[in-house]
Amino acid sequence: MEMAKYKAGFHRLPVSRIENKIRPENVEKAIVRDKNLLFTIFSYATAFLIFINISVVHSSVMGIAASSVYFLINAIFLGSTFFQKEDLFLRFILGNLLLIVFLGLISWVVMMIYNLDAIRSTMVLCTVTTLCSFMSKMAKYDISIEFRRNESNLKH
Amino acid sequence: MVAEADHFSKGPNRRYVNHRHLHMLELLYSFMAVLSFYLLFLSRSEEVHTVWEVMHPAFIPVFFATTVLLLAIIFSSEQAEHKLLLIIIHSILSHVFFVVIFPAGYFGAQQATLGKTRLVYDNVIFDGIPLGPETILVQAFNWFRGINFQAALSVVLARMFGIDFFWGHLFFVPLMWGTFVPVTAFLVTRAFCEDKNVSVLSSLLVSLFPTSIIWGTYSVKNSLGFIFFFCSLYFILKYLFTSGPKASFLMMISSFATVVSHPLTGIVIVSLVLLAIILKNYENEKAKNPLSAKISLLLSFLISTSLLPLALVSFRLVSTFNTNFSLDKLYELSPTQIVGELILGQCIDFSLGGALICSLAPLVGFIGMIYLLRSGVNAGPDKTRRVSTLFLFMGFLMVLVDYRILRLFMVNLPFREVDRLWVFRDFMATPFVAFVVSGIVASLQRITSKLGRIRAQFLFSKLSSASRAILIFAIAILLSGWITASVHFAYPHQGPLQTTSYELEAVKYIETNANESYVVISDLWMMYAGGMIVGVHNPRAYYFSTSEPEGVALFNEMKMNVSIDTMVEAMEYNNATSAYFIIEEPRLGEEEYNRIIQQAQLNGLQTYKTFLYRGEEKLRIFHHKEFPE
Repeated sequence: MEMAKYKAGFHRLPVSRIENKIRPENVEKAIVRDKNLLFTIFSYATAFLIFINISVVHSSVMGIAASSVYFLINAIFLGSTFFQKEDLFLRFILGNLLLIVFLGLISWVVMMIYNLDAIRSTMVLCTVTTLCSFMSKMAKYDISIEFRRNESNLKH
Repeated sequence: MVAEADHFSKGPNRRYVNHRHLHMLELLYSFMAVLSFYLLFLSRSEEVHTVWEVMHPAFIPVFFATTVLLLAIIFSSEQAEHKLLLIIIHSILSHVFFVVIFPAGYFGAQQATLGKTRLVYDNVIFDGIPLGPETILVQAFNWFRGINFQAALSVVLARMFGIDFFWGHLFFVPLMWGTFVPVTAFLVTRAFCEDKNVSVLSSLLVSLFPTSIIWGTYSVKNSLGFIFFFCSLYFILKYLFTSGPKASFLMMISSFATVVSHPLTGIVIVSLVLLAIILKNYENEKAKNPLSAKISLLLSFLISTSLLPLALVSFRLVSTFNTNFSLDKLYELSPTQIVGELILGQCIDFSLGGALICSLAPLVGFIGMIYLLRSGVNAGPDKTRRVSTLFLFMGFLMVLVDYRILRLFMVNLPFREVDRLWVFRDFMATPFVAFVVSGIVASLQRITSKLGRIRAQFLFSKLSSASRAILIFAIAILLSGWITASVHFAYPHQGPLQTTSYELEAVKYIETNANESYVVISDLWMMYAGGMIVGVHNPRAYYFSTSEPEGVALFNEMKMNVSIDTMVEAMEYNNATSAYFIIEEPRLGEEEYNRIIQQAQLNGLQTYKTFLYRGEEKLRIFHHKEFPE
């Protein structure tokens, strides 16, 4: 616990700053920034954890925990891509909705081609993560291009 | 009223509750919501016909009080996000009666769907759920049948969360509906009304419509389609006012999800997308060439309206339904009845209270639409509001016309209840109901604040602030009563004995103790129960489908003459080595039940297991095993 605090750098912050650091807005920012693809990899890891759970562990607690993290990361990716102008809450809910649509459509295609066993269900999760992460990166890229264009327009 | 609704929350009048009181109110609401869930859980029964038969007597008063508190929070200055969260909890509460009270949710389509989906979950079938004799056309149609999309989505979600598929399926639609429908109502209303409080109000007022309550209670493909339909409606509105690929992408992907969820929602959403594209074009073109723009809009409305009846007729190519246009229904009705049907639709069959509950909110919504369209024309350049209202009005009108065509001029429809079209109508009317209600609240608040402006009389001013609080309270009571009445009306008051706990136990018992492949001869109720636990047509544990005449014929044959020969005949369906025959006292009646037991004993059929409920025998399983020669 102590070690984790040091690793996260919380030991240098006063209590009020720690509260600020783990606010939902900051969590969202960190996920959207996805520095070194950290959260994308984390999402793949949760998909792998879900696979382990389906095949070996069969625990609801583990499934709910891993799926919640999976939903959190990918819903934030999608929410920030398509609903930037909405409030945080609505962004998250709409991101979840879109994630469910993607999960439904991709698993539907996989099921119609063959079936939805543990491996293919995990493949669906990984495909959706790739899609969400890619869309998020594309949206960030679009914003940075627009920003540079506006900046050069201002200079001229 | 437009301005009044817009300023619904802006004045100081709304800050009648300070922050400390607000937090207390929210805490109280949370307590009441938990209490409601608890009372619902206490009402859970193992042998039950309707939810009202066993509902805890305190539930409805507590539900009503919870709704009053929620409305008080909605009328307060709390943040919209917090209000939405509380509304989601309330919405989930309104939609889980069946799942919490009945042992296996509401009987019928939901259970049949679970029976088929179970095979996908257990990896028994491949390439989706089959439809029957397959031509290329039928196979293509099968791809887009809602059951496949729902199966895929619920299987993946159940695997992800590691929960029992039985419960995952039953809770799937109530949770999705409870979460996304209020949020979408909020977003659709906000698309043409800047005031967040009107939008928040609309997210609760979806519960005024009994059809939108009942369709959110069971996990069938049509319910899933309705959820995606409503979300698509928001994305269509977004597309109308936003240029760029994102809006089009969102509209297309959500509409596609609606199409693959259910053909009915699919056709209606395609009609609306068509209408939206033409309407967007109309807005751009009307300044240059108003006449041709108007003609194209009118034509697109006619095409959109005719799309649903024509598509249903064309289903004959890929399904066994012989849907067609016909005047037969009209010939059966008197002129007065025809006029009644045209004006009131199915409400003509209801009691006065039922008709009021079903039609009052849509009527208020319709009045709101007309008012906004008229005020939009007079007020001038409020483009967003005018175009949204026009689009929703045309959609509303389209559904009204289609409903009457389907009800009066068509036969052999693929679905029995034409009133499922009301869900589309209700979704489109909801924002306008909120608009009218908030307009009325604002008008009344103005009147009371005018009283307060008479400064000379200090006492009068105090009276005015008290009367404002009373006014809000009275409106909260009125709306809560309406919502509670709507929920009360939505859940059926009569019904057959639902799937019982001992039926489920019997299926589980056979499944746990059978070491070989087996077939079960049973009535429809056991077929539903068996399908839910082991799947329909599972080659290892074979339960007949409820829509299959062979299964019913075998059961009737066994009922008439209990014989081992019939059981051996049943074994041929899946090359089983064991056969089970199940009878139930509540389904057959005591006399028939005892007669079958006596006959079975005479014919040498062994009793495998009996199941008791409250000390009485309710269910008996007979078993026959074929030994290899």
